Amino acid sequence: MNENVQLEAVYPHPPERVWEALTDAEQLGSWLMPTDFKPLIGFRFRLDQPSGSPIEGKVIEVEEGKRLAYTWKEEGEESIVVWNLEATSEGTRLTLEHVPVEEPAVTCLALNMYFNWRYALRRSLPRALWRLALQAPLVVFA
Amino acid sequence: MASVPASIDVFAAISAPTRRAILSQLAEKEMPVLALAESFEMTLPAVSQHLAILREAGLVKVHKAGRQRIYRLSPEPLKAVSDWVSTYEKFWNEKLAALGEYLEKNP
Repeated sequence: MNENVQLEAVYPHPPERVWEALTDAEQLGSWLMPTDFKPLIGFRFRLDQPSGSPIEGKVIEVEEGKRLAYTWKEEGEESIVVWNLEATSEGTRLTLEHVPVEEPAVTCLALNMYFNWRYALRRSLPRALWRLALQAPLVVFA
Repeated sequence: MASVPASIDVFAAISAPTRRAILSQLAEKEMPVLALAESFEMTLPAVSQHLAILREAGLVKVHKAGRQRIYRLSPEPLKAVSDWVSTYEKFWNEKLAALGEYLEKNP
């Protein structure tokens, strides 16, 4: 078990095509959520969920065709989403990381925290702790 | 999507390797501060500071036994971490599949 979300998918399309789908507002609307997203550092965008208040984000890293990162603020809790694209013989390997941040903050601070988190989150909790956590009575978080 | 649990302080608390090690130690048995400090070769104030952060996150509980303060692990908040991860994992798995379908239809 992990403490951050780390997923990977391979698509039979070149990275340029996948990049478009990840960064073009209209295309994002087709598979993610309606949005006013633009791949510009510092750009603030929103993602309209089918229900509930919109997710608010700010673009923090853009490396065209390769890497994209933005903050993701949902119900007051801020986290960071990072996409990496890599060309393979089959097409594109897309990796996604979604990691929490300590407090709502953006710009340099967020980036620093992000890298600290990346470092910290690579070390998984001892298995014993997870076993205990799973045995613990279910706690309801409002 | 489902509401995200308020677990950011838990994430922060477990981000420090030392605090993870303390939790790990307490997972085996409850311990007084002094024993923890000795076991980690840390000063009392240093270990107390880590314990305060862990207490605030609800990851450890303390009780007094005579003049000693005994710490024990309270693992329930870790559930919030695994909930956070599984909520977003499910969400993104669905979205990655949706992206695949979208690309297939719009190459």
